[in-house]
Amino acid sequence: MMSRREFLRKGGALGITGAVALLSKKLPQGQLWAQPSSDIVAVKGGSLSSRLDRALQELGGVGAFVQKGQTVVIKPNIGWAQEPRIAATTNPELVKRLVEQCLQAGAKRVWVFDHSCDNGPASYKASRIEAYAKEAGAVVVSGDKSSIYKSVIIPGAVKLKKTMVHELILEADVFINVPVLKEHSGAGMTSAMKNLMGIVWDRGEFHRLGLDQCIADCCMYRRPTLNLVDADRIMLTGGPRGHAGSKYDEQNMLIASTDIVAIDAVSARTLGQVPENFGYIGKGERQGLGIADLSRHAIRRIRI
Amino acid sequence: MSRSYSRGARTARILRQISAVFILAALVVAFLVPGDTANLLARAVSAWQFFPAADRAVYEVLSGFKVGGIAACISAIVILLATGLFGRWYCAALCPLGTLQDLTALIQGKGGQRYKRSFKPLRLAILLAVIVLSLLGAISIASWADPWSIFSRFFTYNLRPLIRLVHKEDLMGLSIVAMGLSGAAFMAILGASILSRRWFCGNFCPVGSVLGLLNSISFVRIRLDDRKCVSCGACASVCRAACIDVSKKRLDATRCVNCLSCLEVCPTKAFRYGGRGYRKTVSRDNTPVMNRAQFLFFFYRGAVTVSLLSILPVRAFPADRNQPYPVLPPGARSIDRFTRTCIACGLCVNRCPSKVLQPAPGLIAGKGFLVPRLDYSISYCQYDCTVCMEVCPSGALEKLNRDRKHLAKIGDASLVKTRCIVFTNGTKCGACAEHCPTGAVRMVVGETGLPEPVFTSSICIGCGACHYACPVHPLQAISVTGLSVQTIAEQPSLNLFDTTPQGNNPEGSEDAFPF
Repeated sequence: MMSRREFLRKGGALGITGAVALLSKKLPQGQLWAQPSSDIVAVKGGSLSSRLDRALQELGGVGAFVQKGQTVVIKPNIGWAQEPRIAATTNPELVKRLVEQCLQAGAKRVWVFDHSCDNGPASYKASRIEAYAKEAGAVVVSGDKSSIYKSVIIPGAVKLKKTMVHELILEADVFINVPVLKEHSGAGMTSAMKNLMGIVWDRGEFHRLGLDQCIADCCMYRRPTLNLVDADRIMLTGGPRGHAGSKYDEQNMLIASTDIVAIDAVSARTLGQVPENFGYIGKGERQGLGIADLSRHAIRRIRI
Repeated sequence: MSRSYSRGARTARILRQISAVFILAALVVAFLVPGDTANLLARAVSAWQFFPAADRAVYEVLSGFKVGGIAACISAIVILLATGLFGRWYCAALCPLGTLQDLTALIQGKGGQRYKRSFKPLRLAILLAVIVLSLLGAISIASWADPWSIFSRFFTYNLRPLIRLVHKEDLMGLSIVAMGLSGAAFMAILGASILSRRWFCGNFCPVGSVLGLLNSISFVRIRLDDRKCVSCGACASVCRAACIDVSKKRLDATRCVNCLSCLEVCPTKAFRYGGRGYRKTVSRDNTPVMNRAQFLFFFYRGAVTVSLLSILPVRAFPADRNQPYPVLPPGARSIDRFTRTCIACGLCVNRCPSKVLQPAPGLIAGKGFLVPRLDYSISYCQYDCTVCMEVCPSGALEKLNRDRKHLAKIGDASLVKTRCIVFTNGTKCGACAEHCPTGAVRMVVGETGLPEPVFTSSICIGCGACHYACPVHPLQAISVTGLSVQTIAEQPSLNLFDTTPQGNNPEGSEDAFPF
């Protein structure tokens, strides 16, 4: 039998160890308050792969983001069990090229996942992202079971102060956000900020607590090392899932930035709207996530 | 008989075992591994399970061959014909529950097995009960005597959750009733088999009773020559059906499953697999289930019962009008038809990728026990998925292709705006609309200045995506209930979303940067 004192001592020690372990896990590699780079690169024309190569080159090469021996997590939009031509999901060719680039830069491992809205395996398959990413050498991880999500506290969040985040977001050295830009029936638009809703287990909470605020809060947890917006074929109506009557805008564009707010502001303009139309952009800016005012950014517009 | 005879028996025995092991292995994959290959295996093997095949064939006949045509009846016909001609091969070559019972012999060790008398009234009673219950429409209750259903339910409700637990998947929708009953039935059968080999097959199983009866009158089967038999008991110790009575030098042909073990071990070659042979008198190896008078009595009484039941069928269990209708899988057509044909084997529940298919609690329409329905608290029906209909081995789910499934209306949503977050909280939501595959729920900016949900019933297929996604709990602002008769939804119009603000980018903005 353990005496009460012994029990308390051991329990306390265990608790402290646990807390330290949790805290050390929870603080993402000091990128939380890093100043965003004001660089925005938009590349039009060419193929999806060549667009990515050029954008990365403009930002100093993939080596500026991925160091040798690091682990990388790529978060595309794999929300729906839809084929690539529907453009409800990130183009698989773009994901494939990005994986290749990361591995060429010496990444130890490249993970790809999303918490799909439709059935996970069906979405991974229909979007072709699983096949393309594996072909390039990535490890495709499922996002549809709660056991791989860890409870975290989001510092600076207004509403979504606590949530469960996919363990790879906690674990990877580099976090690359690769959304597809499209119209969204609920949030108005989905691009870089809204895409991070897919790193969280319980999305219902976003809606209950207020969608715009929670999208901004969610981006506070770990700011992506880099955001790459697939604006190749933009769904203008019937988003986010896509319908037979959906209308499209063939922009053949890729947008890259480390500033998640700025890239969403550019995305809004690309949809023919203004950033003010989407509540989460302004909220994100006020929470220090980035700068929505495009005049304060150096935008490089490149046609290839 | 020459020497080559026993070699032939050995070859046949090995072939039988290969078939049995292949079927079992295929089903283990089919039940425990996710994915398309497993679905294909599930479909191929379950199509040759007698109880669902007979169910499918009967439904096909009743519907005038309009659903699956004669093709749907082939496996039932082939199994019956083959048994009538070549004996009861099914039970030791195709039935997975039979194979698992044979495997209990491994626990049992060698020898030790003796002839066990069968209790014929029990077999007849069970068979009669299964037929009567099936005709009354309670086939999902009758199927608790069916070996396929018992096997399938054990794998679905007991083993699959274990596998999911190992993979740290979320265990949702576990039904204690389904787990408990499936586990108990399966364990009882294996336990009985340890005490008396294939006790279930010879004393309880309705499929075994039908095929056993056919075996006893079939042209070719295993026969025991009592003049050659020396009552040494070698056969009885290996007999998988405990059906050889060596003291009386008799083989109970109604229980023999053609395992062929006896042919190999008999030192005097008293067994042979063949026709009636040269002897004019009926050999004593045939132990009839009943004599002619009994048979005629049962036949007439059975015929009268069956015809009476088919004249006044199924009204015995009216649907409960006070309960909302459960949402049934696509292809079920109607609650009445579905509950009359679904054997509740749970194969669709097992294969459903989104796990939205779960056994319904209680009785559906007073007669469907543990039949599958869609549970939208767990997930929703995937728009492009047709797996449940593909794998369904009974006649319960009509096989709709993807295009037809896209319009198959299995339920209808109802939107309660007073519960909707857009109105109660004044914040954006739209979870329902973003999940809706047909556009039956869409967001239109309304008086609140926010996108508000708008619902069109005529294009709603009842897939439950909105119901599942709605963040309002426990009573959703949009929820789906089932229909007593499934219908066909309208094709959504192509300009459904033209009210959405499209921005000011005209088509062909390729050259200019929009910012």
